[in-house]
Amino acid sequence: MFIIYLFTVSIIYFFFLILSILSYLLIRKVLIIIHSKRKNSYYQSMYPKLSQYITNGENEHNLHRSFQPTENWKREVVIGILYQFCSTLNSDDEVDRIGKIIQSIGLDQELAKKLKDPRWWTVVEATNRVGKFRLRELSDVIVENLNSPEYDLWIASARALSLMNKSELLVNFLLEKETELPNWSIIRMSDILVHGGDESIDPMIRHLSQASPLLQGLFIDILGKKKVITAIPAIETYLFHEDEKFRLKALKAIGDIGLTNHEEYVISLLHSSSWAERLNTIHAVRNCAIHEATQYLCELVSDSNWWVRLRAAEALFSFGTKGKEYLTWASVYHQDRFARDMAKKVLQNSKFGVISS
Amino acid sequence: MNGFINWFFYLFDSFIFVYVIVVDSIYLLLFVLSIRALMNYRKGISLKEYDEISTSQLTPPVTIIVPAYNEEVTIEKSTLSFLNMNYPEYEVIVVNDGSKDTTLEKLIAYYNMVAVDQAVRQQLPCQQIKGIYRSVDYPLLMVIDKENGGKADALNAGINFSQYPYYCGVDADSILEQDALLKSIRPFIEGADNVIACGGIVRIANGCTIRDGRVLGIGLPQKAIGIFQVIEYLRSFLMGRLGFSSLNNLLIISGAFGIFRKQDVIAVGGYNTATVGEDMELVVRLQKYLYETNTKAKVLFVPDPVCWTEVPEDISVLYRQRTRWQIGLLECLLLHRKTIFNPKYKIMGLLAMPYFLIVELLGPTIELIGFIFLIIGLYLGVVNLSFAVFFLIATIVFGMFLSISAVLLEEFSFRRYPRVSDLLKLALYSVLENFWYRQINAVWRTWAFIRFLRNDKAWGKMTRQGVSQ
Repeated sequence: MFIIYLFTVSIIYFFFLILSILSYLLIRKVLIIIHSKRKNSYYQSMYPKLSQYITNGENEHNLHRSFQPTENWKREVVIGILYQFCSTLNSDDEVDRIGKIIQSIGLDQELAKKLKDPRWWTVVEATNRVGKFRLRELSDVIVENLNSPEYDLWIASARALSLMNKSELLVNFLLEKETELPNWSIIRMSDILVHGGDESIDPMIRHLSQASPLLQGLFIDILGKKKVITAIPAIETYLFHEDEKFRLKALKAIGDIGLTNHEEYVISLLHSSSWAERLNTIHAVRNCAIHEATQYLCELVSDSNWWVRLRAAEALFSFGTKGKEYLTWASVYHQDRFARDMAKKVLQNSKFGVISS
Repeated sequence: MNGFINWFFYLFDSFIFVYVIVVDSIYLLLFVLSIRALMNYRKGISLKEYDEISTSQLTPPVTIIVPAYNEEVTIEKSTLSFLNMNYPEYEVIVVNDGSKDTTLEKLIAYYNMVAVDQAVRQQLPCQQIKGIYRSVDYPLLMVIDKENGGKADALNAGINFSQYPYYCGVDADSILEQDALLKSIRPFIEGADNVIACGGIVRIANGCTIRDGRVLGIGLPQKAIGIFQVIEYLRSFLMGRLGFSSLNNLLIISGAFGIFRKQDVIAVGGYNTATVGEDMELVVRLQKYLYETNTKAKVLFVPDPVCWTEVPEDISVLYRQRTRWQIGLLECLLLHRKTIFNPKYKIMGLLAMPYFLIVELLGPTIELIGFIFLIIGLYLGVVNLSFAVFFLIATIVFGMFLSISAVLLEEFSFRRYPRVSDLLKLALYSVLENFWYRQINAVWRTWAFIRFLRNDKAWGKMTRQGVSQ
């Protein structure tokens, strides 16, 4: 009897629970629809005004009157538009103008307050905005959050500093805290450095030889991806390193930059016993356009490794008429069946624009 | 004799009572886990910068593999959606699995394709390749024409031809949202967890406005049978999968949309061509592999990346689909029966696999038998009428609660259905579902056991209407 009573109560409870949640969501949905219409119309009217001011500085004297939204939802629309503009900022003037609007609506104060909020997700949201709006005066607070154990907060802080052209702070942070950081966060940081400003280049070159092996490899990668020509001498010292891992990174970076002072030595690495080294050397040879390596590339078209064969054939193809003639010959007459297949594949792929870079 | 019947019905009633309590408790647990997971996900997702992922050099290139068998109605437009992804580096491989219609011809004509020779790394066994085609207009697109070997075999062939370390298996009648790859690759590249597979949510395209492979407007299907399936999909993805994913014991990633790390799939031997439930079977094998090799890696479900798929609105096609799913589940559980209730596999062995056995596989049949015995018992006068009525109401109300909860989870989190009328319709159909759709499903799924015993595993003709204009 007790169980039946319990069940009856549960059923009634469930029923009313469902009804009340459904009613709440219905009311919420209606309100959202009404708000979105109003917001959309305000957005349409504000977008051109803000665009004119941010790009040309027009209507500066009317700044307060034009852009000071009186209601919260209007303020949110304006902030949303500013956020959109921040992805395509072209000059410091534009950054300054956005800064003025932010000050005029009191957003800078609000963000400074939110950066100290105990809830990490509120801090992340504020950090993202501070970074996007380039509010450099708040960078000190953000630097502290680099030590946060919360992934989202940590990554948002790194991203914000990079956007504020303070990525040298990230290099210093890596050098100081490397032993405490997990590998994945170091790799994530390198991604931010690759896309960040050039202010991180000098500290990376300066600390390259003293950094830990992990960071040395990382800096070589970043310098290569950022195509820093001035870093070539430093990177090339690693071509002669006894550890293959560093030679691979150096070859990759040289290939990314597309320039080397050691062409003959690079060519000699095409004969390496390691397939990974042969592969990265092909990358360097191709991108540095070392045509003297053509005959060795021809040999590598019949290499035992699939990737080496593919990249060698692609490099030959990129070398112009001579390479293409060889591939055409190899696709029919090469004594190695795998070489014939690979030459044929690359020649065919070229017709469809799928030769990888 | 009367004593025996009374005793039998008492025992059976007790069994059903305990069974219902256990099943409902598991559902409640999954619901609570899903709410928590969804709230955490929503909290984090607004903070992500997808622009950064789309330009990141850490974002791994992905191969989209599309197995296609008799897909002439949908293949052109769905392939277009795969070619319009917002993703830095990817390729699309459509595998024509010996279609008997004009699937291949349509692809060749629409995408201006020509036959090529191609060196392939044969990493998984598959049926003979008849031809390889590349598009003059779309360098990303490759079509493999092969002898028919089933969906699993087509996926294995696609893996052999893919040149990237991750692949995304997609159904040929599905449409991916532009950011779907980007959103589902995020767990892989954030790097905090070692992720080997990740599934996204599959939503129903019937009723949506789709043009040239893009979803322009979201709406509900016209027919009741379509709306019931919308609710079913929401329940399955937002409750079931999200709940198990939060326990790190997800055992199924829909064949319609899931990303896998290729090296792990090759390590476990690729897709099993001997089962019709190849999607679940692969994920179970991957999870087993993780337990057996003591690897701390994850199989995840993320509720945001969306794949839109056409569902059958014809009752006979739906019957074939549901019986096939049930046979696939049965085969998978039979293949991996040693993991069920096996403490060596921890949560997988003690909760996830038993859930699929007791709730998903046997549930509909037990429910059906329960109804039949209830009627017999009432006829014989051995079942208490008020208890029977009460119990029936309780079961139906709880079913309604679960269905409406899934709708509420959707409305609370993603709100993909824009109109107030959509919400009301979904709520109403969550109630109606319990009065015939649930029962007919139970009959079909029970019938699947008989089809399995008769070794009748044919896919049957899956008629497509084509949802894209």
